[in-house]
Amino acid sequence: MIVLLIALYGLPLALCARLRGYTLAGAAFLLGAGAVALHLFVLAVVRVPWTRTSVLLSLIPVLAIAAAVAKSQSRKVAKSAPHLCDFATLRLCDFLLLLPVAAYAIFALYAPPYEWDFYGIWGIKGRWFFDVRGIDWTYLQTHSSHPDYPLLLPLLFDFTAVVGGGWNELAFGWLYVALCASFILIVRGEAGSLAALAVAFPALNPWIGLAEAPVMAFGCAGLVFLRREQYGLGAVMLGFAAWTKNEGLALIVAAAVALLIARRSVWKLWPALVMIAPWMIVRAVLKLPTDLADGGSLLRIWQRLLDPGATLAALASAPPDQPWLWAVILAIVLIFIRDAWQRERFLLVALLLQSAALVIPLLATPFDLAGHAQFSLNRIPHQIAPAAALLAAASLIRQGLSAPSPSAGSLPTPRPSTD
Amino acid sequence: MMRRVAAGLLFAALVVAGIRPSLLRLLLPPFQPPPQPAPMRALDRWPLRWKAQYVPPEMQRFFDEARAQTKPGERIGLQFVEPYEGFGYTHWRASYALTGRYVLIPQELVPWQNPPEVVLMWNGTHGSVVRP
Repeated sequence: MIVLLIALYGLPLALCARLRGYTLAGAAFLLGAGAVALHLFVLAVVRVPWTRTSVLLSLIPVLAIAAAVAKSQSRKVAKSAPHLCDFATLRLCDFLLLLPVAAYAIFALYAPPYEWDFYGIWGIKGRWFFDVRGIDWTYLQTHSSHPDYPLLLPLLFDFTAVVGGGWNELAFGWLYVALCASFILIVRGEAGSLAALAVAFPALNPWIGLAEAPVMAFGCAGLVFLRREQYGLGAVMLGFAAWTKNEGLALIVAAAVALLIARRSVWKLWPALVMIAPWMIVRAVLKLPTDLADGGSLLRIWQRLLDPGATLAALASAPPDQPWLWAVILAIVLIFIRDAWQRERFLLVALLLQSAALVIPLLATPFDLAGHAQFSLNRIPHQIAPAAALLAAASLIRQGLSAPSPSAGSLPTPRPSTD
Repeated sequence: MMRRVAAGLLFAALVVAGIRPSLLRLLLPPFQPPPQPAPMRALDRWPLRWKAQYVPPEMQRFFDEARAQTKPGERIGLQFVEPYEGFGYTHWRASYALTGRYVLIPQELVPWQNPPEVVLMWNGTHGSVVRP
């Protein structure tokens, strides 16, 4: 019920962006999830205690404005495209997608989350805030582990608990199912059924209770929308990704540089910066420290770069989850590198930069590099795995694997670069 | 034609390489991962969710009881026997169960400036809440 409520809340927001069909369904939940979490943040800042009544009542004005804008947008859309819903292109592949999503739902729901970082970072923050019905800034400053980590995920847990009437960890599994399925729906709508099939398994993130799934869903959805030149929506998704994990912040930078290189309008990412600004201000005002940016971090990175043999050996000792998937993606991208550079330059550059951004903080670790990599490199690459799979699949689809999807055909495809 | 066939084979490889058979097996009874013991000290490269919970159910119940017997704001020390001692998984599991209270880092790592108001003790089979 909470998942449906979040999707219903996001529906007018998605309609504002004139989305249709699968993309509308996927984006509605992601936009709703991000919006309700930031809504709790605003309530906490203005010191309104979170109760079911205060949260739901305060959502109504925002919902009404979004609905009014969506209504005016839908009139414009109706003139050019008569159908807001576009599910008529259902294919066999789409039924195949149901199997992994159903299996993932079982996996996410058979028990409450019990990963280390759920207890140590994400879940504990959410529960602490739920106990006081607001954000406990003193706790963040003095007792929280990783106080600099953004708060979207704990706040999403809190929304579920406040509206659901109690702290119920088992219900959080539904959030993960909806987040991952939403991204798959967006790819289905924006790139077709074959691409959705290729990204389905990489998008079903097995670390339930951690921030990998939400940062993947928001971040990769942002890249997909930017790839289709839907800058506003892409920037908003990247903003939500930055509110989820620090890697999301790095993704904004990677996307900006990629847009610059692909000669697109980098300034159109401004909504992402506006969205993350409040959290950056909070971090600065409260002086929330980050464990990877102490005085010696640059020195450690430099020392490890000076010894590439040992550094590479340490990183190689910790291969990512699903190494064969990464090997196939790499092979496909290399085989079709010219096509990727000409037709997918934005996605290619963004993913390369983000890959570097995922590894470089590791080099700053004050701990043993190999040991740190063992428990980090297995799951961190999952944040971009679905976008990488999409890059590979798009190259193959352009070789004539399938006719262009009618649903995707109404939107602009990535343009070849002019040089 | 050859190009299309090659692309088709590569696409099949892309999809197959991503498949997680362990996930698909969940579609069949008993609809949960096959029973496997929890990894030592809950240290595993893969999601702990594929294996049994490291903290036994009776210990989790003890944490819930401790939450009911303590007040928000109290400082809590932990004294657990092996393998649950120290600043590890169980420390965080207890901290999560006792939100609102300040669970102290073991004094072997950070000497306590003020003694805890409550000490949770776990002897391997059952626990007790002690107010020194």
